[in-house]
Amino acid sequence: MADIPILTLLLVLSAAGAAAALLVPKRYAGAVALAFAVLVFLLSLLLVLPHATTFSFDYAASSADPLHLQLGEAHPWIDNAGQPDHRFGIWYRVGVDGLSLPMVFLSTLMTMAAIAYAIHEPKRPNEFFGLLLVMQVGVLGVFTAQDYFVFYIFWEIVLIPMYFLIGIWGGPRRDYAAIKFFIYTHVASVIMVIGIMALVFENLRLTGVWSFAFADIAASAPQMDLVFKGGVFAALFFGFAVKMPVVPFHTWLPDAHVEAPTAGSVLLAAILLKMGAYGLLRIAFQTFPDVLRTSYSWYGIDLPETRQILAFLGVVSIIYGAFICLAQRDLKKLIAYSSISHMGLVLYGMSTTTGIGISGAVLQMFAHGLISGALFMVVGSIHHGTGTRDIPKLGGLAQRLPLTAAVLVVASMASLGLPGLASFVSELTVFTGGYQAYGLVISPVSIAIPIMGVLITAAYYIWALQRVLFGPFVERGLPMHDLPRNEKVVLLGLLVLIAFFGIWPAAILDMSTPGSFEVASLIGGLTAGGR
Amino acid sequence: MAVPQAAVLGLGAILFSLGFYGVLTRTNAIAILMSVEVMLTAANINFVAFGQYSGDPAGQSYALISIALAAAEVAVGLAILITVFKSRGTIDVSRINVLRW
Amino acid sequence: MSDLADLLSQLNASLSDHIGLLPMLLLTILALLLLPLSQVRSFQRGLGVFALLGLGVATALVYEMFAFPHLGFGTFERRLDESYFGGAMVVNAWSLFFSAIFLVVALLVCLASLSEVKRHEPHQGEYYALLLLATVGMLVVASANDLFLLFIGIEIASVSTFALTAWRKKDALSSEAAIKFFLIGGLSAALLLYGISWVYGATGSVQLGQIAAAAPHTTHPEALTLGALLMIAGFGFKFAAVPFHGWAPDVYTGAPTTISAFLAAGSKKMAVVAALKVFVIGFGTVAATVHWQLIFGVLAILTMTVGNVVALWQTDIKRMLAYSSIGQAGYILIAVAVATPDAIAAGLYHSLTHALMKGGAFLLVGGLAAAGVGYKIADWEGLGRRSPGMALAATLLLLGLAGIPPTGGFFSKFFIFATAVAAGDWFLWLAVIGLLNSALSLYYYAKVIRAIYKRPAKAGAKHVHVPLPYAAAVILATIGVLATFFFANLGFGLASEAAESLLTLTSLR
Repeated sequence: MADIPILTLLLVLSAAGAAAALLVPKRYAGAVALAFAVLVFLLSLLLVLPHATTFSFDYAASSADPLHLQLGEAHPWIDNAGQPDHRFGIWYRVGVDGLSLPMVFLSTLMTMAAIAYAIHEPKRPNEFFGLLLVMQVGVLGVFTAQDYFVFYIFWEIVLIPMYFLIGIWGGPRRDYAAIKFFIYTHVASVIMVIGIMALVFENLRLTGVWSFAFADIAASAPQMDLVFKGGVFAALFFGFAVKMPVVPFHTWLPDAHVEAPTAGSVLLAAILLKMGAYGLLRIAFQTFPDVLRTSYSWYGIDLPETRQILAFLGVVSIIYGAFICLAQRDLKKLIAYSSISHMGLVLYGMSTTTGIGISGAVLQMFAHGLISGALFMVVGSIHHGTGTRDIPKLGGLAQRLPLTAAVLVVASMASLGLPGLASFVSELTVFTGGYQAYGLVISPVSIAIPIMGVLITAAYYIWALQRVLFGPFVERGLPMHDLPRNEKVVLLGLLVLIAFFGIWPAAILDMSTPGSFEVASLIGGLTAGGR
Repeated sequence: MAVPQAAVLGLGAILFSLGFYGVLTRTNAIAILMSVEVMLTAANINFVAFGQYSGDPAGQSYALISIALAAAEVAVGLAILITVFKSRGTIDVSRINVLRW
Repeated sequence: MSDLADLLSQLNASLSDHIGLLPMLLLTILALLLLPLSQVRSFQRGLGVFALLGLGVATALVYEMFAFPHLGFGTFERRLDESYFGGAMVVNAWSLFFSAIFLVVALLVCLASLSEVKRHEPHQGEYYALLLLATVGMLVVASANDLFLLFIGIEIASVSTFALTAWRKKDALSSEAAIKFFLIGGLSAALLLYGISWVYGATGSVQLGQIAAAAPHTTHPEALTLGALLMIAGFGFKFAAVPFHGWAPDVYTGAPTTISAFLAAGSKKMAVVAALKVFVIGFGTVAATVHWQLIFGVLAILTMTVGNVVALWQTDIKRMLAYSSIGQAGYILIAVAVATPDAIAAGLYHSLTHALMKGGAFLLVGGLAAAGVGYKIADWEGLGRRSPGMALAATLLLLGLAGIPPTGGFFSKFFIFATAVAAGDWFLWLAVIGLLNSALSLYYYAKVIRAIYKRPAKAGAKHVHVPLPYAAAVILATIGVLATFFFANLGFGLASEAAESLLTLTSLR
């Protein structure tokens, strides 16, 4: 389309920003990092706005041929093409379609927001901002990669900055949380890489050609044995499920969140969790559409359709996450568990394999990115402002910190799905898809149970708000302050965006819906009823 | 007049085994060194035997070269033993164990 | 006068005929020159530089022969592929690839030695001379095509490194390491030589190509098997493969750190070359009856698992690196067991990246020790503040050893596992176990990285100034580790060429 390798440019600029933030004098580190983050964000904005430039995303072409990559780049890397002993076929392949573009935009937006929020970080700012931008390189790479090898490399790159962000800037139990995060996600990615290697070699056996390209492997996947595909699907799903995280692979998340610095939590919740869901949609769903509709039997036990297993895990995550939230005393832990619940909703939406459900899941990923980012920020502000996050020790905050209180209320309302705010639309579309696929009450995965989860969500948020904001003020003899200017700007900006996408969700749905319906039709799910 | 080849190889094997036994059981470093030398001698006997019985003169030359190599090795080894003895006052390997072996 | 001119022209002609042996010849002459030079009192500081220059020239020669034949001396127009002494030595892409690894390691070690060897220490001439001679031994192994010559090369390198390990005569640890190294080295030499004698008896030759031709028709297959087993044990000791590994951690811990780097990065690879050559070529025709692939497969599993598991508990960085070295040797053994051309190329590439990573890591330990930082992992706490540059290098080197991008270690491990899977059969399980080990190993590397960055430095800890030669060596190694990631295509291409040229040795009679 355009000659400018815009996606590579995004990656290179992020990396350059990281290097610059590491090298400049201490007091400029934040400003330099922010400048690069804004630059990357503006570039990605140009990418998203229709017809803004020659390298903008082409919505018309995307509607016509939804999964066709745009802005693609491909260069051989570890490959001796054309020679008789051809091998490895590893190419640097990147590109976007309507499913990855919202995630790219979310990543640049939230990285910028996190850097702006944390701009006054006093502890080792060079490394702090450098790592945030390294993480941006990783996530942008994951969301744009079109080659298993490149995907895996970026997937691993994300691990390292997050480990250090938790391990250096974290709370009192940071050692434990960091190593737990690291081991969990690394084991997951090793299992994932076993699945990837199996795929590559099966493709080699079938076609005689080495290739790591998503497209090539998806093309030869129909010829693969269904049981083999089920095994590989399980390996990939495990890799993604730990990252999302899906109950019961979630236990690293509360620890990581509670110990991580605010900016780290923001990126973890807003972007890193989406990597798992995105990987599921991009790789597992598009490569093995038939696995989802297959009922496997395992040592003589007949399992339900794979998609129903996923739906069940999604429902368990929704309910489990919501109930655990009710019991939390630590405000940050509460939001961490609510993330598990909301990512369960994403998994549930995808598992419906209906166009509308998948589309809703993508919107839910985007909305949850904005909302959980805002929530973690405001909890960070409360912690800074009052010195505690312990719900019983807070109280009457609305009298003393009115602005913080207002932001917390709006963000919580958004999270519980108040109409007019971003996640209302996504929850509604997910449940519509769920109704189409599984009905109202007839099966364990029909929508009645996840809707119960939404009710519990409302309950724990409102209960927490009541305890934190209202009632008598707990005098603790500490100096308190309302939002500083940079936090105010970032939080209000995010709230505006949450409202904007609540009122006009089409901004995201225009990108994601055609692709979602295409994926649904690949799987053979319901595609009617939307648009 | 001819000694059978098997007898010569058997001598080599016996020497090798004796040497190996010595390496495993001795704790005096010089005794271990001597045992290693016996093992090397077994190899030399093999070379000579195989060369002689197949009419290949190369076998004997290999033995000669390996004797020279063994001499070099022993020279360095004894020098090391002397430095150890100077710093520790013993060359008993069971007592040279600051490092965990 | 005309006699002299005659002699010179004869010498010149003889040199042109043996151009591939020039690096070895050069280094031997320099080593012999270093001994009288060391008697010149005012030249003490120059000895190291002299050795360094010699190694530099030798490296340039190898590079010349390997990469830029069109710039050659006019004696050859293509990549060198010559055999000497009736086929006993062959200089081709294979030997040049390994010569390059050995010379680069020797260069880095020699560079770092400029600060490891203190101004006032005695026997500096001997140190550098032995370093050069050990390198010569390794170069001989790289190009030997004859079991006996191989043995001679191994002995030259071993005897030199025995003496180097004991070089600090007053240091009790150094001499203790040396006596252990020497006794084990002697045992392994005896096993090797006895094994060679049986192979010679069974096939009537010590030249690899002739062994390969004669082996299937031997009247004494049991002698051949016995020889193979003895040689595997002999190489196993050199290679520190489990269960022949006990000496390695002690020796690496006790030896002067530059020598530890030399042993772990360089002389261990010598056993790789030798094992690959002997078994892929010499025993290539009898793989079905001698089952050496199975033995190496079992050794690979044992070696990587034991190395990685024991490394988990180490608190001393040199010991940790020693066990990690054992684990890494296990990965290379996978390539030896699989023994397809691609797998051999992968093993070669891992030898290269591992030489850079492990050499760099040991030199980093030595450099930090020279700057007053201890050998315990706990001593490295807060290094991120005290020496950001070295901390970054350490991070990259350790990530490389763990096989995390963007380091060459990532690709070399990937190549090993991928080629093992591609070979099919039970080799798949080697790859799976290797992958699991690789995940496990991350834990102890991450432990060190965590110590570097997380903990605040102990009170009173000042900025660390690593001496310049050490720092330069570490930085060069780190650049190499990054380069082997980004230019993996080129590197693997060269490695495959080397692997293919190994297989042509079979046809040499």
